[in-house]
Amino acid sequence: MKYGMVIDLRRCIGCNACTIACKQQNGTPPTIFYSHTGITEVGTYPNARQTPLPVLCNHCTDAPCVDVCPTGASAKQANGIVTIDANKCIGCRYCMVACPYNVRQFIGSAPAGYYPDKGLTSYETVAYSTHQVGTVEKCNFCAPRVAAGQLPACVLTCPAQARFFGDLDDPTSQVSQLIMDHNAKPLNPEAGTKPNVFYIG
Amino acid sequence: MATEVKTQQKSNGIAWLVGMVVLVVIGAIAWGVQLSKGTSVLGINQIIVWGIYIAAFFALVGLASGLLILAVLSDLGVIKGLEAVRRNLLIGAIASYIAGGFMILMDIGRPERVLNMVFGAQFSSPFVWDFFSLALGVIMAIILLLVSSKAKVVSLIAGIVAGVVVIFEGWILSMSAGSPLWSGGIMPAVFLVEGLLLALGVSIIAKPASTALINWTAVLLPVLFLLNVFEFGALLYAGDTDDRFATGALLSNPLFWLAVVLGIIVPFVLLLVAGKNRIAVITSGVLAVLGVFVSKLLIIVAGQSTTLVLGTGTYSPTIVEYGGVIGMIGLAGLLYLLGTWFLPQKKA
Repeated sequence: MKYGMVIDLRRCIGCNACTIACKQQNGTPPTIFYSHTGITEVGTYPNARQTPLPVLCNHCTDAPCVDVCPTGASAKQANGIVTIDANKCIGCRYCMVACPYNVRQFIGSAPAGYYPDKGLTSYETVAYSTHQVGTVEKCNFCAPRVAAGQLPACVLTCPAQARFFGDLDDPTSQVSQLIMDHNAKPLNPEAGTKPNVFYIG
Repeated sequence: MATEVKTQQKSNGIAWLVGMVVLVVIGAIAWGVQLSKGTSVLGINQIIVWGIYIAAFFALVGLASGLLILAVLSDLGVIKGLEAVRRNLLIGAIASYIAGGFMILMDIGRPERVLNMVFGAQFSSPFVWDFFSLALGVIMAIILLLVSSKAKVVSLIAGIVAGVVVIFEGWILSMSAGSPLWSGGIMPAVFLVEGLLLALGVSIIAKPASTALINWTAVLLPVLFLLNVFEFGALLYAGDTDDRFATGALLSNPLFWLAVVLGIIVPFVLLLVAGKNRIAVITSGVLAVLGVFVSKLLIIVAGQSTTLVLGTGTYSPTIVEYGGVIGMIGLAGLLYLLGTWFLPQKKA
């Protein structure tokens, strides 16, 4: 079992619904994004366009963040998901500099909320209580949802059906088929970390 | 006459002690502010996550290892004329190692959990190697302080440990897959040379008449310059996009060139043409130490300034960070002073 994701860039419309779904699912404070969509400009005016590139933790097979973590807080699970045990994390941020995808986030201070002059909303009070100040966080492929047989929030939410999630070890799974049929490639493969998020297009 | 000199030395010592205590208090206040408000009071962000604290940590530990290596080279007869300051070198090494340890404690998000690195240590991490080797460095410096300079084997082991500490520090950067500027095997060599230069710089400030120290400093300054040329030249010429971007970010920073000119070239020329002039030697020492520290900081920041999608990051240390670094320099100085006063002195 090795969970992975395929993102079809031909379908992605850069709406950031995945970004918001991720924030809602994980209740992340301001400035903290487990998943984000970058916009890059391609071409020269008048033949220029914007292309979206959603980026999240690649749950690398040879995850450098796991290797460099001094306390074992970052770990590779048997199902391929890279997780962080917040109770073990000392907040050294070595995993952040080791990550070639810059997808780890540091909770440096107690969240002030999205409306700092009005205090935390009821939702924020509950949601932020699950985040430990001084530790590093990141996408875990919505592990609790996946354990319950559900799809990650970003996959479920994507209005363009650009995201696919499944078992990369199963050659008959949708993600394996998509990778084979479309010659999907990972991002930044030269980093040599064997990422498990693939892109079509 | 002798009584007057002793009184003068005592009042000088007390003035230094007060000065160092003031610096430590500044550091304690800075750390207090940081602990109460979180890292939002620091210049780090989600892209540049290591800043001046890490640079100061590397510099303090490099200085400590450099001082320990100088003491060992003196014991082994490689450098002459340091016998009289052997104790000072070793106490300086212990003080700097401890201050470096506190610096990293100040940097991490959950300092109360630092013992997770001992009881839950994951030995694949260069941080863990560094943690244990640093502790061993302190122990070896203490042992050297207790044994005679004639215990060559102990000295040799201490020298190897000191070298290993800085090599592991270099590996902390070079084994980071996410930062192309740091990758490659040259970083540990750079750290070793920088550590020695920090120790030599501090030593010639304190002992500007030592020809051996001046000569070694004059040799190592161009070595550091060449290592920089080899590393960044290769990255610019043959590196991939990320390598070139990060190297470009470093080389386009005027501060880097200031560090090269004022931290390497000027002290080298000063030592070469005015190596017998006390002021010139002290100035060279100060410039070399500042140059190494600034270039360490710039390389640490530039190495993180290339990212996928998020864009490039910027970093400027805040007043809290400056306060923290000043505090740890004060701690090193305070421990050194107390060590020279209270640690037992071996009879000749």
